[in-house]
Amino acid sequence: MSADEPVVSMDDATVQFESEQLFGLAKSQVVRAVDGVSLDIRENEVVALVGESGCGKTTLGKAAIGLHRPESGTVSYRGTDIWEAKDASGLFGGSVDGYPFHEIRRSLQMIHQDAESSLDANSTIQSILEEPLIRWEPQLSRPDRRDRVGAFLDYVGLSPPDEYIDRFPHQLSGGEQQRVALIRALLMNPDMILADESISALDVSLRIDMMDLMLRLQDEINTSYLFITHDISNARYITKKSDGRIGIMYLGNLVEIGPVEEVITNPQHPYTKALLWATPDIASSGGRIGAEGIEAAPLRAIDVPDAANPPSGCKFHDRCPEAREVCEEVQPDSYRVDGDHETACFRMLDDHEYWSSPELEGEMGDQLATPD
Amino acid sequence: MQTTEPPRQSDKDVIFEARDVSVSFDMEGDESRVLDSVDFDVYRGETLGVVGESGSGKSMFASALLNAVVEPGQVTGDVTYYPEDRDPVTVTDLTESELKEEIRWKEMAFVVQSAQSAFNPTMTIRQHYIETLEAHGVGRQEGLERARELCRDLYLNPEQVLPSYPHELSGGMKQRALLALGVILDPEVVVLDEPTAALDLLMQRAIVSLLADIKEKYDLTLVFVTHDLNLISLIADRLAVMYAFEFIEVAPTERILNDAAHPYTRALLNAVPTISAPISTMTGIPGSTPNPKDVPAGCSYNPRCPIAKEECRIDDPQLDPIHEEHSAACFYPDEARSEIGIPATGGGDDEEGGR
Ligand code: SF4
Ligand code: SF4
Repeated sequence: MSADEPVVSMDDATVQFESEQLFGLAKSQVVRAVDGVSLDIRENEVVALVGESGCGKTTLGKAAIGLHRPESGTVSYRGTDIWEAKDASGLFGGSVDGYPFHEIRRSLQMIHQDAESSLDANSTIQSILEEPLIRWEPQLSRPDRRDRVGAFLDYVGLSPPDEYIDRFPHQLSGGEQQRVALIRALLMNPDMILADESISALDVSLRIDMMDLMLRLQDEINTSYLFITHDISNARYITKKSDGRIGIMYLGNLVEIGPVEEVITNPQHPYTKALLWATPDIASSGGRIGAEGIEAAPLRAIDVPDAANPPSGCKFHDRCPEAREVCEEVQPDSYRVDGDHETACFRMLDDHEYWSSPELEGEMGDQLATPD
Repeated sequence: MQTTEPPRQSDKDVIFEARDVSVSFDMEGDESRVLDSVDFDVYRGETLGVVGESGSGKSMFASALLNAVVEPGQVTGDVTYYPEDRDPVTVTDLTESELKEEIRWKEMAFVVQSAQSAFNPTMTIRQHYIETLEAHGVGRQEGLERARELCRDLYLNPEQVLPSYPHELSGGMKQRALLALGVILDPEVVVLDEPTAALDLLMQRAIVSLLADIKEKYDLTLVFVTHDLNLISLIADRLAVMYAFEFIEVAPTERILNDAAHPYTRALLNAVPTISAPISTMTGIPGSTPNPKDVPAGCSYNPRCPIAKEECRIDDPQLDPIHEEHSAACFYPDEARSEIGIPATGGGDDEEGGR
């Protein structure tokens, strides 16, 4: 597999939205959902993006497949700038160097968290799955298409296919709907699939099987996955099984990224450490935390700041237990930890002024005493 | 049956006693049982984790405890509540207005998953608190003082939160504000139905720690209903696992995690991804959970159970004690433990590959 040219490459990409204030009381604010992120997704690679809601992971994912246009920075598909291709396709029939836009669109697919609402409720499974074939493989005859759809259904465990092919989405269970959505994406023969929280909504007993299925299909059709989740245990499973990477996002920034085991067992960013603290582990604890209360949290504040008005400097400084004064003023770049492992924290640099900067005062609960 | 007399449950200080409790829905002449003849004791002062997948009956159990099952659901059987210093109350015999007056909020509070829908969007948080306080004849001054303290206990700034409308608070803040509302009348018991499911990881973990703190401070009994075995294991003293509308295993948390005896519990332990267990030990559970209209005859888990025998297709195992404080509804608990590995004993069932 050539690791030379990434399938998707984001370079210093920023995506922002205007957020309408409720009831129009205040003027609208600009939220920078993705703030200067660079990320390459390689051929056949699985990258899991982990973060809390509002951290920008879904926006980043959508930007990576060309559904959000970056304000600044670039997003390219195999070296072709997606938005240049798009603009060119409008003007003169897509004749730019590189890949035409419609080909890029087909190559970058998505499966949603809520499979049911992403499937047309009034269409049968057959016609839902046939649609991409009609579009992309018009030479196939009707029976050929039915066979192809049937083979896929069988492969993902919806068998016998004849029992499923004429049903409507609401007649399937959540796990079955999710598999239909996955087939639909795969029928496009994509190079990358964005899977946005597509495991989280499933029952516990189905999650491993769904992730295994995604990986088996990856072997068959050679696709990369950008897997978005708030659950670091799911992220670990799918990336570890595929030798992939985990990226941690916080308020629009990619604060740490690296090979899965590096990030989980050798986390460098204080936010990654907090996420790992927050991830209970029945396999290692073997018991309850008992009296250990909130004081033990490696955080200085529980609540996430307003994304429309993020903290200055390092955006984690108001919650970071390691924060020093310089963190309030300067935003850290991404620094290499080792090999593929990078993190955006000054503590990576032995000679950074961070080490001589005074520690920030305050711990959890301080904000309660002094209303302002 | 064992020869040694198992310790009787009544040795414990019981706060809730459920006997033969069922919840059913009448669907056009078809009866659907979504909780099936459950016997269960909740102990005073404990944190009980009720664990199950969706459609296992766990939320119904929570609602039935408080006689809060919504129409057209029908509750049968008895739930008895034992106050610390008064006569027992049969919760299932009370009318809606008696429940409101005597029991809800004052004695037992219910905290639901969706703080969003629990709050009225046109009222501030303070107004919600006042409404509840006044409905129970608690003075505003004194009640709000307690509300402020509770907010601080839950790491909410009362000066910010009380005057806010629900939409002005983040999901995590709303959920904590709802928790404060649940505890505002100093109840004995708080039943929480998936209280953290809609929240982010850090907030879930924070809320679990905060619950441990307020439980200690206010001397509460907690019944925490969840699908999240990882999370509930952090604070539960005991875990009760539900499958197909019944309890199939109950034991102290450590015993469930290290020595579960029911094949479903063991399968669940292998199906939950964790951050430390070897990937190879994790496996899903083949098959699907039964729906209330066709629960398999015999043991409800038998179609999915790797060690099922003929007997399991005919007889329905009862939730019987297999050890001190440990009960399981399975005919073959020893075989389950030797045949089905779990992370704590260093390995899942690797033969399970054939699909
Ligand atoms: S740069 Fe400073 S505030 Fe940011 S994570 Fe590192 S130590 Fe914490
Ligand atoms: S009773 Fe039989 S089918 Fe049921 S869990 Fe035990 S061994 Fe499996």
